[in-house]
Amino acid sequence: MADHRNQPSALAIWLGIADNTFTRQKTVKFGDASAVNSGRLWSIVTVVVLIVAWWIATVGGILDPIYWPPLDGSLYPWDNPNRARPGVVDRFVSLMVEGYRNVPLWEHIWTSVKRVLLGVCFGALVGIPLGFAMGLNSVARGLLDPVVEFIRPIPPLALIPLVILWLGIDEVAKTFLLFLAALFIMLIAARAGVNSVRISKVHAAYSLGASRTQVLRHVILPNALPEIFTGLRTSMGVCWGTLVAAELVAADQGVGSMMMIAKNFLQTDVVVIGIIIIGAIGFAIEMLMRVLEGWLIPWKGKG
Amino acid sequence: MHRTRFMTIVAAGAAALFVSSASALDKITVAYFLEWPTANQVAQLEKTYDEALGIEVEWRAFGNGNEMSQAMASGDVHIAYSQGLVPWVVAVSNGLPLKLVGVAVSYAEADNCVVHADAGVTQANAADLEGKKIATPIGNVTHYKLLRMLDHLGVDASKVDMVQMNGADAAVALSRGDVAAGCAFGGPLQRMKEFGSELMTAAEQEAIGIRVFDVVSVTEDFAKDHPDLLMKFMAVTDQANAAYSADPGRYQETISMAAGMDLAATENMLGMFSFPSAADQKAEAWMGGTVQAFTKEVADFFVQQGQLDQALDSYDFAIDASFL
Repeated sequence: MADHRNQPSALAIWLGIADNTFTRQKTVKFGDASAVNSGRLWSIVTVVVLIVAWWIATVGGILDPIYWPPLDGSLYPWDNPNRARPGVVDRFVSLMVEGYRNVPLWEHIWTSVKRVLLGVCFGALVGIPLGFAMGLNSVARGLLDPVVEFIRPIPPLALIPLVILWLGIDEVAKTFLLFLAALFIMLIAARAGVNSVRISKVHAAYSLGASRTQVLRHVILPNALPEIFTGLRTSMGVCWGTLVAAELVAADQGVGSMMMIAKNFLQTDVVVIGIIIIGAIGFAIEMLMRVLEGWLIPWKGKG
Repeated sequence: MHRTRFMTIVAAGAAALFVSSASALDKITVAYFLEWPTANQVAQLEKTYDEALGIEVEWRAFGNGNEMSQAMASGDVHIAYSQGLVPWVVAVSNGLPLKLVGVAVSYAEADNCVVHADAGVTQANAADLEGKKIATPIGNVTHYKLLRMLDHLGVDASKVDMVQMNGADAAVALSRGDVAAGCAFGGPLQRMKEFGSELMTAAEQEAIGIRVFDVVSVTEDFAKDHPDLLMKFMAVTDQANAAYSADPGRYQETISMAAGMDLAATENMLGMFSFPSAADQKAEAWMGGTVQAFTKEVADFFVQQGQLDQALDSYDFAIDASFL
């Protein structure tokens, strides 16, 4: 047993500068991906360095605010104090308090998140059954294959002109674009999920006297869920990425719309805030999905 | 000065990419609008500009004037022909180094807002527009006119749901009845009129002091480094305008081809345009004082409406008639 006095602290392990108990027992570490620590300390260093660099650029007046906004408007050495513009921090505060174009910031954010969630939900509702059908039935596979394979590679954004013509400019149109983005990912994920079920499990269920419905419910569905969940994660990410362009259709509310309108007024600070919000929420969604995955399908990777 | 420092950093980082464009000017890029027929498009199509300037002149179509400003900020576009006054004001108010060097076209009737026939809104009950959707390119001349009209008719603009759409999309939205009203310029406006009627006529707008004209704007660097090219560009434009005024019928077909419109629509729209001559532009009625005063008025109005963060004290420094 290792000497307890030489054990690194829990903090050092969390920061990724010391090996955990498991890794310490390894004899060879280079080339073993599981022996690579999180390196959180260096992540923190990166973030801090970026913010300090931004702060220095602001205080030193190195960047023109039109191209990249100052961290805070009051820190920037304005040639003419009357021409001072807000930076990212003070603009963010004013967006929280007063909103953008009479709409509070949280409402812009909620509108965007709602669109993505709706798009993914509808995509899953339609895509999963279709994917199952394609995986389990040769008629369904034959019928759907040409359509799916033809439409799948078309980026949803290429359909914007048609979507405006068919569905107009309201929520339906924007959600539809996100739905399309999610649909094919979910469909393929469900089909791959069905294909990934081990045939020995299906045979075992049949030999125990299971009916078709029971095989579907108790064998295929649970074993396909990990793939489906991966599909959900991917489609959340893709939809979130498609959002800004979908909100271009007719910008009124939403983070993407806010950025498009701010761009017309050359409010680079608002555009950058939008970028940061999109990045932060995309990150939060990914983290949430990982937690959900561990909680809902604990059998993932153990079948 | 900050800008140059920024550009130095960018250039250093991507030197290889920038060498070709930075060393010698081998062509100039001019931004223009499709479905916006102007007299100088004869010169555009017949390559008169290329001959007079001695280098290639590339014409790039844009959807609205703000996009032109952004392209000019990046240095990819040197001249914006027929940029709306409002996008130019927005750009200069934000500190973008753009110069107004001429008036491209004066138009009142070719830019307007159309209320859908089913919406049942006229000037008398314009307040009904509150809570309804209006499609407009935001931060443009069209938007400015809309705000001035709403202001005049006693409508609270903050309660109107304004949707950012460029003209062509706005016309589709209006035809489907997705929006109660749509604002646009050029060809899309003609299409909109099939589905409703104008909120205020051009004459009524002029009566309340709305002036509408597009400008020729250039980046400060281009004006400083290549004044000779700019003067030649303005001279060719003036000659084309003069030739068109002398005999409009002769050139309309060429213009319609360059504008991407059919002949009838081109004739119709050219009828609403006037192209002031260089001499007229230098006079009091244009860049001798009126443009400067009106620019300040537009900027202040946008600030008052909460659309623009702040206006400059004066825009005179960025208006330069010496290239005409």
